[in-house]
Amino acid sequence: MKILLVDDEEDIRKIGRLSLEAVGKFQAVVASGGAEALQMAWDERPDLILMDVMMPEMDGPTAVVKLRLIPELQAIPIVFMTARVQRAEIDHYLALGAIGVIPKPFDPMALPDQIRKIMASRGG
Amino acid sequence: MKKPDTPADELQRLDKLRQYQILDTAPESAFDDLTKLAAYVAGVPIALVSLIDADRQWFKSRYGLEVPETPRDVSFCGHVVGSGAALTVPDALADPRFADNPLVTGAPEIRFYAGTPLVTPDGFTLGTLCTIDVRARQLSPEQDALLKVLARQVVDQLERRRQTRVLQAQQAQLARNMQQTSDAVSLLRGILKNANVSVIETTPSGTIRVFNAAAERMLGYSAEELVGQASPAILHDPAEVAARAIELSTELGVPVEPGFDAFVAKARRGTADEGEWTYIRKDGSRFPVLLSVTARRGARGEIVGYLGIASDISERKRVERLQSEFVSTVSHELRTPLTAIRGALGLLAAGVTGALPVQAKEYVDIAVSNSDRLVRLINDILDIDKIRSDDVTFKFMTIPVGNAVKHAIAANAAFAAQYAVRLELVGDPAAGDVRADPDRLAQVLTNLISNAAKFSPTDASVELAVTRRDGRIRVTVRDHGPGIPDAFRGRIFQRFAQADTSNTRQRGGTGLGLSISKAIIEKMDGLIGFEPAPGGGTEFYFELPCLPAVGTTAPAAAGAFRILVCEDDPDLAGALERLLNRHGFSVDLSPTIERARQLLASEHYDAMTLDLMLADGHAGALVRELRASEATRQLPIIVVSCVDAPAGSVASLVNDIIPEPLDESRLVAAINKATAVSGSRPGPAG
Repeated sequence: MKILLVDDEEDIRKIGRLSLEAVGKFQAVVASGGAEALQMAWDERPDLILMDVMMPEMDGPTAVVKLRLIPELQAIPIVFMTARVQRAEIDHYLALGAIGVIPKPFDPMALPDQIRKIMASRGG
Repeated sequence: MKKPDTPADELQRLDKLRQYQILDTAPESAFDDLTKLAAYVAGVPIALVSLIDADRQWFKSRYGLEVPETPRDVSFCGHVVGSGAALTVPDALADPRFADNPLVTGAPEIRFYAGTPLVTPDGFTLGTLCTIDVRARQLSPEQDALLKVLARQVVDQLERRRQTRVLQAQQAQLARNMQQTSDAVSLLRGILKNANVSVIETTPSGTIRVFNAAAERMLGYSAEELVGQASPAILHDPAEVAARAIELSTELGVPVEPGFDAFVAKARRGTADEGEWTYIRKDGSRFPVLLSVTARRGARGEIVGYLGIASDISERKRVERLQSEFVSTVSHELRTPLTAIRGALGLLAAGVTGALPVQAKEYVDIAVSNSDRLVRLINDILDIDKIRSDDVTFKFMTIPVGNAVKHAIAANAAFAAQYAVRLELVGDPAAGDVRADPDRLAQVLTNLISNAAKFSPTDASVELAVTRRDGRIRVTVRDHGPGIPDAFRGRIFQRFAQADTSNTRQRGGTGLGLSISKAIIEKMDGLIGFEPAPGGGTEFYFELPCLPAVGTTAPAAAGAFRILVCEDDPDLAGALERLLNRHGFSVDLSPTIERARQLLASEHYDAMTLDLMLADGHAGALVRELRASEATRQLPIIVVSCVDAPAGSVASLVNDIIPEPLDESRLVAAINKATAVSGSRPGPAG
């Protein structure tokens, strides 16, 4: 399974990539912001996008809205990653069409399992 | 000599005499003129206005006599007062009553006496107008008649004096009252003028009557522009008012008009109404206010006006916004590097980047557990800030405390086992429900249990108990540890207070648990504290107000009708229960809409009484639900003890409405009528 990880922090991208590839055995590609995410999504056609929420220039939710406007990319499931996990905010992300939310800081050993659980609860 | 008799009404007579305040006053020309006239009419040298006191006769006016008074016993006038009738003594020496009277045998050597009683309008004889001569004689009938006329004049004078005095006293009182009123008005004016809050008062229909100086400053209107001419609605945003009207309609169960009605709907019902609104100045600029609206009522309880007091909360809102932005920013800024640290360490520790030398692994593990600790700390700080600043919504529900404690014991058993500590529930938990957020309540119990476990010696037990005291439920968590050091007692609920810094790492914890627990319990209207436990250790406790009991009470007589009484005031609930039991009904009680729903779903009732305002809100929606459901469409519903008669749809859905104060016989009659109609008794839980 190919996962696109979008985060503006280089260290998080490195850690996240290692977690997805070495621990989760996924294929991982990364983007450093909302604009690059759109480009990478088009080029790579991932099976899942792990999207950070707070990014400068174009934030996660805005990028998601734009993604949904592109017919070929509409169906890609999105999981948000964020430090803000109040109930109201989670509801907001789900309303945008995300299939799940993973809180930060995340445990790189647990991240792949969390992703698998979210995919499974979707009903595959 | 015969002494004068004392009349039967002597005490009242003396009292009456005092009221004239005439005794021992200086001579006055009005009276002296009359005695002179009397002497001339009778052709005698002496004429007196004599007033009979307890033991003396005292002369207000004495024509031809120097002496101001004599003892009553020897007075001739005393006899007039004693008998109430006029007295004529033509020759005192020939009269056995007076022949040896000192005033006859000695000065002034009275021989002739004629005295007419001075009688007050209400019939008391105060004294006489008398004429005296040193020679024996008689008066003609005309002279007698004239003396009676003069006596009436004397009484007139006495009356006039008395009335003047009364009037003067009244005037003095009026002047004092006016001064008081004037002082009160000054004071109130001063308060209105100098108060730092906007005070706006309106007529019942919404026209502004008072617009104080602070309101003028805050809003940019002058009082003259608005008083008598405008409604406070012009100070508000119509969209905001309309939205609030809709909210209120739902909350109160009655339609609320957008407009002045929205401001006063709650105040009209006697409910406290304080909320945040936007005020719009004359120049169109806006600012947030905290507005409190109350209704003013007259002697008969009718509304005579509305009072709106508003304070500018711009500053407070600015600070709130900064705070919540700060919390969000800090949250993100702290968590971002932590994510990287924790992430990198996690990968290292798990050997994903390759096997680590043993010692390296040991230190990496230290780094991992500390960054976990940092994450918990940040979470706790943000948690307590959220609870304090009201950002966290508590989801209140009715919770049986005994169950919550049992759950907490089960959930924390494994944790306690790590310290070789047993958790025990001592005694039967007292029955009782509280209104609380279940997750937060669990959080408090976990906090207290984990503290107790951490500070217990190995193999000890931590005992929990649930008791009930005066309408409050008390949960205690007792450990057999070393106890709280004296120096620490005052600070224990403060943030980051940890007694034993040397051991903190071993104990874990962030030092925030108790202050979070305190914030949670206080938010639920309870209190939290601790006491040294007898025999060593500490007993932590928290208390929460208890809801009135729900459920069946006295055993139902077979075939008795079952009534569900929905009432959250414990005294009234008890009274209704006893009343209905006395009349042969079996009663279940519910203080909340939520419980009522549960009971109605699982039990059969022949009728229900309903207080529209229950512990968890307005029951209008419940009534509509019941009527919409087949099972309860016909259930007789009697609304009891409402402050304001429900208008509109709710009123038409219920069978009867019994207002405050409760007429017991009317309630019983209504229930009898309802249960007669509901007919035969079907089986349980339909």
